Amino acid sequence: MESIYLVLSSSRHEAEFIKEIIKDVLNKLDPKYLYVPEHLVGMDRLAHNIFDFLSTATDDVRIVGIHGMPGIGKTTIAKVVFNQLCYGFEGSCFLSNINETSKQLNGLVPLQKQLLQDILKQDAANINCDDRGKVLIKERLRRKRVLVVADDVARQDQLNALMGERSWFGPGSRVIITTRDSSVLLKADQTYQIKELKQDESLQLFSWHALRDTKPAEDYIELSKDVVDYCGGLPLALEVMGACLSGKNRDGWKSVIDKLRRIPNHDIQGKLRISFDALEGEELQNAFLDIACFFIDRKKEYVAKVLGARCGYNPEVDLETLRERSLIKVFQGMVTMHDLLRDMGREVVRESSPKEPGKRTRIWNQEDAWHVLQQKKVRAQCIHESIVIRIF
Amino acid sequence: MQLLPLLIDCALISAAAMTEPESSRSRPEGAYDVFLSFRGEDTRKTFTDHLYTALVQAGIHTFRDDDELPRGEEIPDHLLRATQESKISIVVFSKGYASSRWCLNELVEILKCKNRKTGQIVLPIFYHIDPSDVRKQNGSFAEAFVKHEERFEEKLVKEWRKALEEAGNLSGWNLNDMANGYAFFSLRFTCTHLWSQYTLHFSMTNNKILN
Repeated sequence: MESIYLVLSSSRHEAEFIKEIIKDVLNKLDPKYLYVPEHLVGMDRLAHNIFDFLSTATDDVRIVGIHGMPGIGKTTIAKVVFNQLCYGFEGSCFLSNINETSKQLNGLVPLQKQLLQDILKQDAANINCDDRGKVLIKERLRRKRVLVVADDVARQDQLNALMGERSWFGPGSRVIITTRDSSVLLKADQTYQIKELKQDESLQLFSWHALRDTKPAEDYIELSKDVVDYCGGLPLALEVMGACLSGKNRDGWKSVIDKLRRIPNHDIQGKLRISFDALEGEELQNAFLDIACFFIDRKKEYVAKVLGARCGYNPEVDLETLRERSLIKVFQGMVTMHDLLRDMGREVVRESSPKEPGKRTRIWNQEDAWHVLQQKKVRAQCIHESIVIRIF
Repeated sequence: MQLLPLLIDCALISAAAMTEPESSRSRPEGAYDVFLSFRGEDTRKTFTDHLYTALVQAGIHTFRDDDELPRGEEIPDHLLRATQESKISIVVFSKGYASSRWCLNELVEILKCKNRKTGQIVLPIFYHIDPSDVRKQNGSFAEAFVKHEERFEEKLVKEWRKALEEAGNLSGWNLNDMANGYAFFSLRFTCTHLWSQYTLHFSMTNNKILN
């Protein structure tokens, strides 16, 4: 009797043992990697250097800063390095769009929560203010070897709320900060500036998006060169212009180049605007503006549902067109948009009535909404439109 | 006019570079999630087989060497590739693990992958063996090493010892912890059912060893 019992118990605890191992393995395999475009040009060397510096096993906490102008590819490089490194740490976290998120009231708190949750893999305690969040991060993460990316940091206080001191993270941890402003990178051990693409690289990237080839066909070479010149080696502009021209004939190209020519060199937003203006039909433009104002980082299903209710037809085709034009990205079911494109979209809305938010078609920040409601200047329909979109 | 051929040249060169940009290259198609390293004689038909089945059932793409033929000195290519491309290597340490030089060579290779920049995860499982026996090569591992030292070069044996020390120090899973928990459980079971439920829960949540 006793021996039978022992056999049973041994095979049973082995089964439980295996169950626990499987749970652990699944947790370790959980895909942490992030979407990066398939066709990256001119980034290999820099990504490799950063990776080299961060992957050397040392017990100190290493911080790397990446800076450069908007649309140059800072976030993309950070993602590439993150994807290569993320499996070798006890925990990893990619905090996107820090500057935009922290503009909201108590906006640093959700970022602190995400940091704690991604690394500890459990719901973080209730954080009511960012000072409490700072204490929690410091207490809970200082023994963990982590990889953290702080993407698009604009001010020191944003960084302080997430990583006040190196000692907040455990030995061997690695941090990547991306920013437009190199002055927030004072504490970084290494900083890297991303430069504009060279002409041949630009042409290669542009051709891929415009012609699905790594080099332009002969009758498009001169036109391609013109576009590339106006994009100033900026990957985002090259991609968006390429996607905008894709499928157009030579005359179509010429008319777009004509518009590009009239926009000053430094006005990237103006150049991106050409692609917005080229969207066929008001509904397509509205879909873009809605996403720019309200739906970044939302589930695609949700966005489609709201847009569908607004326009009265299935917006799948519109979303697909926006994606083809590189104006939005869809990855793992989430809709995202580059911040320069977002700003361009919001500018389109803002300039319809620069001084009076109440006359705009969309209101996306608390300040304007408050202002409008206080002044009661808004037409009922306008409020209705914005609020419906927010509470859906 | 002169610019044209030059441009095409540039594009051609970049085209070659672009077919597979290193930075965006993900793991090779068909690469494994898990590589299983184990001593065939000890656990092929028992524990490792159960573990393998459970992994596959959970949708985890798992490699285990089905070949029972004795190998040459070098690790065969397909094995080497599977080791290198897996995200996680699970090493099942059983009493006889250290007596196989193929297992030891495999372990050395696995740890190389871990320490290489790809940062592979190594998960040791201590199957009826004490982690400290692995670390310090005591018990059955000591016997195995007496033989190894007679047969093989000192340099090689040292490399194996170093690998076992490193692997034994990694955080992993110890069956004995679980077994003790269950012995406790069965004892209590005769007393009260309720209490046993509690100890069951207790032993399940505390079985992960952290070295």
